[in-house]
Amino acid sequence: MMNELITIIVPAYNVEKYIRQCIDSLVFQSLSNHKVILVNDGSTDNTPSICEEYAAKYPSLIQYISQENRGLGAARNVGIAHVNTPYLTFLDSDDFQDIHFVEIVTGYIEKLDVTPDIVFTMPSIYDQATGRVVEWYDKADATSLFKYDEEAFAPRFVSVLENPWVYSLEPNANRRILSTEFVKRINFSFPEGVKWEDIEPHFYSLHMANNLGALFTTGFYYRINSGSQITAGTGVTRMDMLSVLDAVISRATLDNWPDIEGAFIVRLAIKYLNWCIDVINNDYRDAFMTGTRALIQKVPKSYFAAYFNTCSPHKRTEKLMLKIIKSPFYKMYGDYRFRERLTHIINRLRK
Amino acid sequence: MDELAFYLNQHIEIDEAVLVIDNFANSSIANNIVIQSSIKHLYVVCDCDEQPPKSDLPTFHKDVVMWYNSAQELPEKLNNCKTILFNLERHPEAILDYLQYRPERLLGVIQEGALSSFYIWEKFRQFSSYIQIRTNCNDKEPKVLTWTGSKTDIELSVILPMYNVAEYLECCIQSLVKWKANYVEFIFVNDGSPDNSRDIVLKWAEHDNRIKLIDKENGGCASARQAGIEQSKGKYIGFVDPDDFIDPNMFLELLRAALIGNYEIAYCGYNEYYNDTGNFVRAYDNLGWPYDKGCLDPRWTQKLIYTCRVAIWREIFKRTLIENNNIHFYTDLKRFDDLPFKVETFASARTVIAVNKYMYYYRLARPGQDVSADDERLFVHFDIFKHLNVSVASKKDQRLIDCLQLCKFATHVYALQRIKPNLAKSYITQAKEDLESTGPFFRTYRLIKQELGKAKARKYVALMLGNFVYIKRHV
Repeated sequence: MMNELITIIVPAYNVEKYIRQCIDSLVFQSLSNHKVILVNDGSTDNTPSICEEYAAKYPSLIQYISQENRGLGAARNVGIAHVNTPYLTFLDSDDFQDIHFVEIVTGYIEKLDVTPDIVFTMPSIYDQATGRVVEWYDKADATSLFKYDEEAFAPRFVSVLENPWVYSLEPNANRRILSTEFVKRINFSFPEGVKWEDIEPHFYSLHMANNLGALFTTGFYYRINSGSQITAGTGVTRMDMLSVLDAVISRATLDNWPDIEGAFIVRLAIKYLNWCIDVINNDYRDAFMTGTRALIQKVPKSYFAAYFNTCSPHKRTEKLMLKIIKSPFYKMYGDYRFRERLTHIINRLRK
Repeated sequence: MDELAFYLNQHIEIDEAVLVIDNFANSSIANNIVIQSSIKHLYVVCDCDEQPPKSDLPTFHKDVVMWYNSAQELPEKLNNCKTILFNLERHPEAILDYLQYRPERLLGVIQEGALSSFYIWEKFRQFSSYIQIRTNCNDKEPKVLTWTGSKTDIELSVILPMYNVAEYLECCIQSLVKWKANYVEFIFVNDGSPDNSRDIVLKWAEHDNRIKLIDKENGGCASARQAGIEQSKGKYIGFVDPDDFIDPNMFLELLRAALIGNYEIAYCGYNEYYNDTGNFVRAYDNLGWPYDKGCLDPRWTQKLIYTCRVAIWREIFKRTLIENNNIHFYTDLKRFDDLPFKVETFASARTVIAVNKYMYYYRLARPGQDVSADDERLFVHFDIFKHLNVSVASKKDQRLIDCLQLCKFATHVYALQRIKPNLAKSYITQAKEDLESTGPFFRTYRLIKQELGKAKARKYVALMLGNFVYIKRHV
């Protein structure tokens, strides 16, 4: 019978610069109530030898798995298959964990009578360019969603049925703790061979969950502007966004998700598509616009209707955006100067 | 979680520290530090006028946090403790009293005011290997000075390429060495100069060990600057032309602006000094919003490619910016080699800060300068843009390509306005081709009209029609 509470799965690919700090933060936790699974995803630098070194030094804590390069999603799935603690979470190998994480999580969970399916933590962002530590992207939204009151120990469980705004939280997999039983019950897994692999599980797991908890006194440190991030890519990696969103929409339509949940899929899709269009480079822009057009045409009209009725932040701009993308002039939307003129005109009309 | 907690969280080997505060209202900081890190002993020194009785102090961690009213109460602990933390809003100068304890690590928070974190850093860098100071500001985001190093590190290298500048060298060196910092080096690159420039440098080097001389065969300004970069050790790199001179505070101000907030490029303004008349003319430039408060958005940094004059000697560049992006001077260019360097650095930089002062003096109207060229020498622009087409346009970032297009247009108009009439036709033909390579006609027209105005847009049309007379007439 395993006594440890939580397993932290760390997929690693060519991170010799940061992996020591990452594993150290897991080894030197203030409370030792956890397991670590390091998954080497076919690294070509010193990452595998560093991982083996730690696994040999802390055999009861760290399990080391090596595979040929199959991508982040596959690495995490392999880690999930080897978990035998009641909870699991993930950590990217270029980030690192708060040293009180396991202690605080243990203190939280042992006082609950109902097992949460997912627990949201609150990471911090370390900007390597400026040296500043800033708040996580959705801190304000998350705090109001869970009405988290640190003084009283009364975690307020939420579910998407009660408040679909939970879908608007960041899809990041590393800031969630998942119940292993829940993961196995719903066949939770990451899509393999694509980037943006946490978007689809975000929607699926939230749709299927009954109890969502929040623990905002701890969270990992997310490193940005180090020069090695996936989210900084401007080329072919952006094209994966189209297939990922397509998969989400397909599942929702096939399984008959209610329109209000579809509305939040549209909300995320529009936000992320705009983001990709904004940064994608000249080589892939036209292909991305064509793909966006095809994607938009697949979304049920009822989802759009629900979206514009409930959670659209800029109704006018977005309706116009969709009209343009559905028109034969959709490629113009890819030009940043066109988009700037559009916002300018709309702001003038507002007055 | 703030930067201080972040560092302590990473460094679990730190189990004791001294915390200096000047205000009991901030006493919760002590408890936050203990909760967020693995510190087992925190000695808090709060030296202020109103002292509440010890029993009123928060006692969440009774054995971990110990309170003192002044530094005299714990001399042995201070001498042994390697980490000093501070949160001083009212009296930041109080931290200077702790110099005598020579901490290895210094981390703290101050309020923006007369004493800057740079000043504190300068004093402590002789003892410490890690300094992190956050400055809270009233009107903008806080900035963090983060520094790892040792007292022998060179923070700034200034590179001076020399060729036939002996007449003006004394004036230049005098203005440079007035700033007495021991963490800069001045690298004079003798590009096979036939005059006695190197003797002047060696004479100064006898009294000032920051002055270094490199001799090389004549290869042009670009090769001299590149040689200087390769031999330099500073974390920041600056350039000065040895026939100019500076306000002695220039590099101090630029380095301070760059370090507080970790900016990749820091720049200021320059004045023109007319050697024949002795007149000073300020060269007004883009030193205001959003750059003077510090710009973190690469899209705004890129705009400086066409909204700011080309003048690399009033800028300092972080060494990692140049190395990580493989930026070098193109040694095949005989002149104006600073233009591609400026474009490439601003194209790659994310963070930049402007110091709104005019601190460099650019000597003009002296015989033999390239800047007064009006003949075939101007054709070097096409070689420059051939290089930039590869390095910048290959990034496939449309915003960046548009910035390059605007820069090209401005450069060609400048050249056409001064070129000798018999060469204008040939120049304008090449200019047309060059502009066509980075953007189609209508897009470029709208771009120029929006960013530079209708008058310039008309010049663009004239240029594309081959009408150099129009461009020369309407300056």
